[in-house]
Amino acid sequence: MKNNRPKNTFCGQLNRREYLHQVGGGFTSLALTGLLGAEGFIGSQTVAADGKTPWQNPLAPKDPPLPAKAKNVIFLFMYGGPSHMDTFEYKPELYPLDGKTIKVNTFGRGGKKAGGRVVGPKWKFKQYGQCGKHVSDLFPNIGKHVDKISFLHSMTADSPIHGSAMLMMNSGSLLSGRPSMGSWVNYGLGSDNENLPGYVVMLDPTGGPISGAKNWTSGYMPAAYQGVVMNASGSTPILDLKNARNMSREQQRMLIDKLNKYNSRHLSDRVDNTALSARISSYELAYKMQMSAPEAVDFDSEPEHVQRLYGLDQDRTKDFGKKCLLARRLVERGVRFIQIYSGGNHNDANWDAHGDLEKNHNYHAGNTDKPIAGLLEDLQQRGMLDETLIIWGGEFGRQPTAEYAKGTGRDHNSYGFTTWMAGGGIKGGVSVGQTDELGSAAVEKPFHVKHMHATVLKQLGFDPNELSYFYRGLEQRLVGVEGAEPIHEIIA
Amino acid sequence: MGRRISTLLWVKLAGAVAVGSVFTGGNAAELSDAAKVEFFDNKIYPILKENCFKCHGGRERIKGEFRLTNRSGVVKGGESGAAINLNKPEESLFLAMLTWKDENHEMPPDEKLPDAQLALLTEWVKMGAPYNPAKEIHGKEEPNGELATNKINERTKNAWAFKGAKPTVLPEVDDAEWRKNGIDAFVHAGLAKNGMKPNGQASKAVLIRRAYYDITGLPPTIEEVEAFIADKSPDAFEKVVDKLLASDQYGERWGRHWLDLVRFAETNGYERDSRKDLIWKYRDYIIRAFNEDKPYDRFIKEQLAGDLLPDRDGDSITATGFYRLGIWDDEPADRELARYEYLDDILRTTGETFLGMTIGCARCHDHKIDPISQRDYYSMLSFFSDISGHGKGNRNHVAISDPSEKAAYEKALKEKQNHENELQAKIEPIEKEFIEGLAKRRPELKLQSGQAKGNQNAWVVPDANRGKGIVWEFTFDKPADNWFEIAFDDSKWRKGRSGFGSPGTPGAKVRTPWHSKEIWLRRDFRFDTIPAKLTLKIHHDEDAEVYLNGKLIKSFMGHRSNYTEVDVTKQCLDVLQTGRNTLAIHCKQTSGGQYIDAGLVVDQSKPPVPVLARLYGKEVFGEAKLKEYNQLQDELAKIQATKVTLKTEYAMAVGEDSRRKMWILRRGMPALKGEEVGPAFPEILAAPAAHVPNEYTVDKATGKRRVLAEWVASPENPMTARVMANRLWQHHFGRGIVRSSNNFGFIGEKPTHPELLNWLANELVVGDWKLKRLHKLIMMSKTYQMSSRGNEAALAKDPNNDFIWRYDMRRLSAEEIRDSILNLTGKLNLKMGGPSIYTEVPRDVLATASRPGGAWGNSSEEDRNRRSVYIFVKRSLHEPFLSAFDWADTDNTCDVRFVTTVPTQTLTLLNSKFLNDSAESLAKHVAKVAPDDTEAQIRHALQKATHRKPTDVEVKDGLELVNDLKGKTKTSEEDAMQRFCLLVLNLNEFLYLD
Repeated sequence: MKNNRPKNTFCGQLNRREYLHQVGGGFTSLALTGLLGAEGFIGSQTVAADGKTPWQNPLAPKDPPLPAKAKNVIFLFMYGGPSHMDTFEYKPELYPLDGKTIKVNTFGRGGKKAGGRVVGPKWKFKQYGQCGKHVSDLFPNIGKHVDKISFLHSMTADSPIHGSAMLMMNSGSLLSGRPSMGSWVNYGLGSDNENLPGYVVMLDPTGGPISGAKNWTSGYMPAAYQGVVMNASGSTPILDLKNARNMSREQQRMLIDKLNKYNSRHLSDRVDNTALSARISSYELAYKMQMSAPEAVDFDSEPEHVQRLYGLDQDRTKDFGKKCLLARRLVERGVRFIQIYSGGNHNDANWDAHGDLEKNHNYHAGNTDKPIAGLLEDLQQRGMLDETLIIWGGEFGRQPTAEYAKGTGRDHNSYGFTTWMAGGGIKGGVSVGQTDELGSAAVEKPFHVKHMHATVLKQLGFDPNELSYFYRGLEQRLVGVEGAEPIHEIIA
Repeated sequence: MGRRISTLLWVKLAGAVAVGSVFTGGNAAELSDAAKVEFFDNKIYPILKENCFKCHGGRERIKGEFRLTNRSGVVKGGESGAAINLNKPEESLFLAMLTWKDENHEMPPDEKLPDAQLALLTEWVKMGAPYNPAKEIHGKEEPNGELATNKINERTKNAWAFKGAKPTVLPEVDDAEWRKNGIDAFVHAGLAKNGMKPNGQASKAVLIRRAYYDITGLPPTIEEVEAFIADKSPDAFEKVVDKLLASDQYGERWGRHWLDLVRFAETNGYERDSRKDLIWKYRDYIIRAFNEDKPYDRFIKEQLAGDLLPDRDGDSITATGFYRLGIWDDEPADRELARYEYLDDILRTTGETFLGMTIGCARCHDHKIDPISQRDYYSMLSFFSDISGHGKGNRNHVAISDPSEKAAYEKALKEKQNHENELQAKIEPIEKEFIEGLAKRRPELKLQSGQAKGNQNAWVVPDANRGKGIVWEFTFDKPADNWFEIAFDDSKWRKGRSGFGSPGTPGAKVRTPWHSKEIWLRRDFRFDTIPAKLTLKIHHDEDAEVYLNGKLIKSFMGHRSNYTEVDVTKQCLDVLQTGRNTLAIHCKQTSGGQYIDAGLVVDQSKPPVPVLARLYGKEVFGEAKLKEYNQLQDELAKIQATKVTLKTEYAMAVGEDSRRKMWILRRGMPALKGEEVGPAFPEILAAPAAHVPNEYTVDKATGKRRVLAEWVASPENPMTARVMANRLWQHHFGRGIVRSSNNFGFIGEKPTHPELLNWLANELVVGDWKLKRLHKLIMMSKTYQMSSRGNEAALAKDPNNDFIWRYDMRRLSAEEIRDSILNLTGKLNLKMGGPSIYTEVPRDVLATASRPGGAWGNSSEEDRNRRSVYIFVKRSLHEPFLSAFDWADTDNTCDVRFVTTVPTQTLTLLNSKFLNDSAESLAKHVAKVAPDDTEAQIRHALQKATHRKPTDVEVKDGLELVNDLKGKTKTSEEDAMQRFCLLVLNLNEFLYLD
């Protein structure tokens, strides 16, 4: 994007037509016609939002404008908001305060408060790895990999309410209608595998996160960039992948061959209409996708020790383990952006521990610790971790004080929380920033969600402040109009 | 050299230094200018260069429009205002930002500068911010000396969009046939000028299909096509057009185009994506307005100010649902900001939809491209400032029928409640007596009278009869609108023990006196797990509204002398949460004493008295008393069964609740209020001042939205008519004369035929803003009736068809595809209007919602087969079939839909249940038409989909497929025909229009 920026336009803006030509490689519809027969042309085509200008396949692979460290992203989304002081940010001074009432400013779903009863961290922390990182007993397996991980302990977000905070973590804005990070990545880089979606989302068995599909929407971009929900456990990993009437492949082949005859005849005196030929080739792609997608979820082909590595042999970890394993298999097959949700629905079906913190976090951490550690180890062993960026985190963290007179539940906290990243050119064994001694707010090097987004884009080979999409008279960016710098401290 | 610099600098600084020395009195100001430059070079420049230039001058893009690389930039400041206050240097915004005094203004954003550097910079500002001219970097001048497009100047005033449409003269055209219709004259003249010729006429079969889809979104029947082809009269096509424009389906098709623009949806988009009850009436209004050919100026006025018009009626009030269509956050982190987001969304949509202007871009700063200032933005926003907030339940419901009916309803409802209360009062003592008697006689039943069964823990909110009551937060003064939300801050409220009322209220424990008319109460409680059943116990005198976690769960009317029990499990189900919950009650009384108390009990089962009475009544009571009891129960059941129906109809519509001021918000931030502004129109449009006459006042509303509506709907408005004429063109030709139909500004596309657009706009206005007249004018043109075929010469010269030498092929829209499939299978149900319907959504899609079971509803098969415009629009779960075919985004105004072709779409067409079921229906349908004749069935299916007689080759191909399926894959005749019909529904010819 950067290199193509025209220099003489007003305010550095492109006008709509220049923009479209730039994205479309400057081809006119006639040029496109010539390309259609060429190999490798993905049979999807978009007409831009002026209703007319032909646009080259939106998912055609593109080179990043700058040298890239990462090629793929796996975002492990701990929906509901895991407690940072009970997981990865060691707060020794918080334990003795347990049960004491203190003054501290908090803001959660219960509104703004000036104090409350401390809930001391409910798990012990142990030191791991060469870096000696403290990790709580919730994650004995992830603990073994701290030397691969950069911990961001001073993350902040703009809202402590699930709905808007989820939108912010996924799309950089509290406002609904913006494209999610995976859409930006697919828009910027395209997809390396035309037989699979470029942006895959895997959901918790209890349901999607709050606001459902808004979390993987392409917003104002074409739907081609939106996340495709994939089911790691079912026989139809993608919606409508299997024929509702169980039509055999043989019959389907016959149908498509015949359909091509009809459609080719129809095309013969309309050859200038590229959309028609794009539709014809889309049947071949759909046909291939029907093979590729089930093959990707065929875990039986994985050796037993690999399955065990991800916890597929245990009921607790089987579901999330399958998703992590599928993520690796999708990365191998060129899927650009994968997001896996731990937790769905509402209340304790996710990390939203308002009631019994111990029960909640033991449950969700116990389901995910082994699979995530397995994923890190497997990627490392295969030499894939260098180019695969892993993100772990929720939409916010939790408060040091109890939400209510009794119990261990913590309310939401967007003033400070922990996100970690690994692989894809991210340093290992590093911790950056911290919250105060209570864990109530980021005090050292506070980072905003958009800095994390900027870091992801940077690792993928973008200047985060240059990757833009023209919409509503503005060059829109994932990191916002104001822009944001990547977190240099964690970039190797 | 050094001397020269200092001389220059002296000239620049003279004023500042003179002032500075008076006010600062410090040593700094008394330095010589050479020393100042030295100070700047050595102390200041390195700080600026290291920390500031990256964003403020060193790169092409300058943040906040603040340039720090030259002195005039420093002094001038940026979009937040002047950076340096030369009179009071200490108060300079520049220093305020650097010292992080204001959380909205923290520079540099990543880390505060060290104190030593801040001290130097403060000293520098006190000196008057001297600069070394040799180090100054200036921005690029405007290219070619052109005037800026975002300022009001000769260039922008004369821009085609803003200067307004001048009366146009039809161009000379030598072809007589292309002279009859004004449209043709413009198009032909344009083509001739470029040495091009228009295509010939499309065939009649193509033409009728085009016309049907354009006007109704549905295909013609085979018979309608044949009749049209057979009709050789010169007005054959005109008759078709007239018939189509008079059909009800016209409004459904063209109404949907409008719904795209106003981002119509039936949920609020945030958190649990709650329903907006009754908003479907706006959709019906739109469809009705198109069908009635409501003049467009009236249509505008009704949507923007239908509640304020002198001849307002139910329809015009329903139209103001326009203001309630957008997204809103139920639990915003920042309530004031959320209010501005809500208003911004309205202004953006209004600006783009009605005026084709991106006014919304001037929210944080002056528009970067168009001559729209921040002042314009906030002046326009001020038209909407009095609009009441959005809200849950019926909060935005407005009566659209006679108000007397509402009064009658409320009276009847009160009478019913009173009657019920009286009966309950008679029944309760009998039941108490019965239970006590029964408990004695039959101790094995373990009955307790008058008390909850189970342990005390069942009371999550104990009522006043338990122990010493409990402490509630309460207030007698009307609290803010969101008083019932969990996050509401009630720390300023008073605390008191339950119950609340006038001391001495019979049968009630009063611990906190309440004498006023109204009381608001809040009480938090917690759940560790979500309870199976939740019962509300309430003793109210009089009307009470009970909220749980922000949701209205129950309203009570009248007064009771005892507690009543209501099972509220169902109502609470979607808001219950673990951890903290909030019960909130509002009670008001009109006369006599007052009392309120409530309790919540979980999983408590009450002795089922009527059942027990049936079993043991005779034994305990004897026959006579049992009869009396049964009679009372019957009477109660009868009363409870009578429905008091509200004759008053409601719609979700706009309301105004108080007069609010408006300010220019620096950087768009509510915390940074600048100058106060009142309603005014964008300056570039040279409109008269927005004066609100006194007689425009309606109830609490000033009537200023009526002033806005009248200005937008005025023939003098340079934008309105052209924007709408362009939209009509767009949906007839697949693209507008201005392609960016929501944006007529400098970043938008220029019109391909500006004169034609002016002419059409003028036709719209002189035709009393009637749309049907314009539709007909367009459709009767030769331009509309051209063939879509390409030819090499024209394709080489104008591949994008900018000169309109042919009609552009187009793919059917999402709705057209779905409706056509239903139509083809004979299942389409043309029932109009009413609450939205739910299609069958695959379980995998429902599983994406956070409440997989509660996200979508069920409709009967008959309803599922209704037109797509009636499908429920849920922001977080778009109907998957429509969504696959590039359905409109529902969060932002959508002027042009994308048209994509992706493999997942193909999977839908090949594999989905809807397609396969439809293919089966089509197979059954054609089997009925030609039983036992496969060839005739194939012929019929193809003709139904393509509206022409299939060729022999096409029929032969179909037969071949059916026979191969039967022979090679051992498929039954029925299944083979189902597969063939699936093929038909996948034909490009079916999905594309010539």
